Amino acid sequence: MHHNMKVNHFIALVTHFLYSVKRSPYRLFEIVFYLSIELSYFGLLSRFIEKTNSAYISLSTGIVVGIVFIAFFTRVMQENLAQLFDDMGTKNMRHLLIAPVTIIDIALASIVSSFIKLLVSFMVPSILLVFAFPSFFSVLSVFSFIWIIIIVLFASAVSFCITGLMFVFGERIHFVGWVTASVVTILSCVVYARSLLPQPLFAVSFALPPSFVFESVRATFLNGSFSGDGLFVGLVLSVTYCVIGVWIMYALFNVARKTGSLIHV
Amino acid sequence: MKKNDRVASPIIGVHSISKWFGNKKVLSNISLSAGAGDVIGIFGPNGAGKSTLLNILSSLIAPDKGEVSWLGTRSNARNLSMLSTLNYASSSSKLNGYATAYENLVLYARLYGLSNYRDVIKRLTQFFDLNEKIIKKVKVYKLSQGENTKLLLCKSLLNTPKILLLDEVTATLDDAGKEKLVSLLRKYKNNKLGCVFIAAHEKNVILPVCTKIILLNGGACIYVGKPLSITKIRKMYAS
Repeated sequence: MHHNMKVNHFIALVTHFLYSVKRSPYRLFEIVFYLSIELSYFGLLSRFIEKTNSAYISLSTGIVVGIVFIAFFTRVMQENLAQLFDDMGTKNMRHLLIAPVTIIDIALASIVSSFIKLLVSFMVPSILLVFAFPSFFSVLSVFSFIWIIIIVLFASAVSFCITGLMFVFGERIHFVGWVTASVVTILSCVVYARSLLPQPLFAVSFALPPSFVFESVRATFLNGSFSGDGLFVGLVLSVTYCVIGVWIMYALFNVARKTGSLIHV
Repeated sequence: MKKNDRVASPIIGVHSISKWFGNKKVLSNISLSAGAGDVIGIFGPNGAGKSTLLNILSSLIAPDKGEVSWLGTRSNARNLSMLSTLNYASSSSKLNGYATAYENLVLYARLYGLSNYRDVIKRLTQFFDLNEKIIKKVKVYKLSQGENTKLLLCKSLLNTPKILLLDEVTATLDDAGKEKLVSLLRKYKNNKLGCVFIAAHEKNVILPVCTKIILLNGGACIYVGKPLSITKIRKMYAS
């Protein structure tokens, strides 16, 4: 396909996914609001711990940052699913699938638009963070951007699998996404060390890219300087899962074409 | 015949296609082809298989038996080249509800690779009497059913498709909208712009402009050929 047409497809799809926020500020409010509430709630808890015992300052900040990033994970997944869910509900998805676009075009546009939404949603809570928890920014470096990339790619991978399942089983299957998010939260060791997990779960956590992020977050705040141990593995895993996620979505799309369940999208 | 063999069908055709949804057979051994200037009316009661046939022609779903051919090439795979020459409208669907009609049309114009889309959009929205203020200010979810159908028709014509698939678009159109639709079908027929498949219950609106009709009942084809009068069609269903 012509290169310009590919670029046009990409811009069109990203714009399409961003309209949900651009034309409906309440959606943006939803994205920012819950994150801000979580931040305020756990942030104040963190301040309380700091006042109680100064030895826990780094630990409490690490906990807050962990909560921020797991909130990112669920937001990205939610937004990815919500935008595709909307298209299925209105049957706009069929117009997208009848247009000359590939599943990969849709997946890439979905990742980029989620990333943009994530950055926008990060703006407001980060203002909160600057005043409430200045230590959040004090030890971060540009490398911590890798944390966000890992989270976005893995959340996108999960949402692609769920989207594929929605192609085959319909919208009712989207609850699997929220169950998965809860399980990932436990196994990713958001607010506790990986070593605390029972043996079988300990092994499983190494297969989850966010666990490498949270280990890095804790190490960074405990050491006072950026610690990227294991992040490369997390990054490779998240890229691999993202590719597998797109492949699963494509495979399930083809299953849905054969069974005819796509008539409902 | 092997896949990808050349067959004699001008633009698009279906060859002995059948489709099951679970245990229910929704289309049974349907064959049909269309060339430039063909306007094919697809008629039948609810559940007859009209929409399923259109969904197969659009590549949204694949048949369980038989094949779809495009420009002589038989394949049930999703073909992007074919999709760029095809378009579809169904009044049971909506475009992106969070965007305005104009924004949606720009989006689809980009997806179909149009460079001069502003002129095309203006021409199409004027043709279907869509108020400029409405299309640029009002979000799609706030449009009336008739306006939504007109918007979908505009979207379906953006790429001047060689294959135009219209599913139940007449039901929600007002009289003026129906006249516009009929004049569009006549244009396709007289200027041989491509082929149109239109599923509808309102035979009185569509029949006069059809070059061919297919009557479906319970997934089976009970007639395919030259248009019949409404009375004859009723008799065929009664028998």
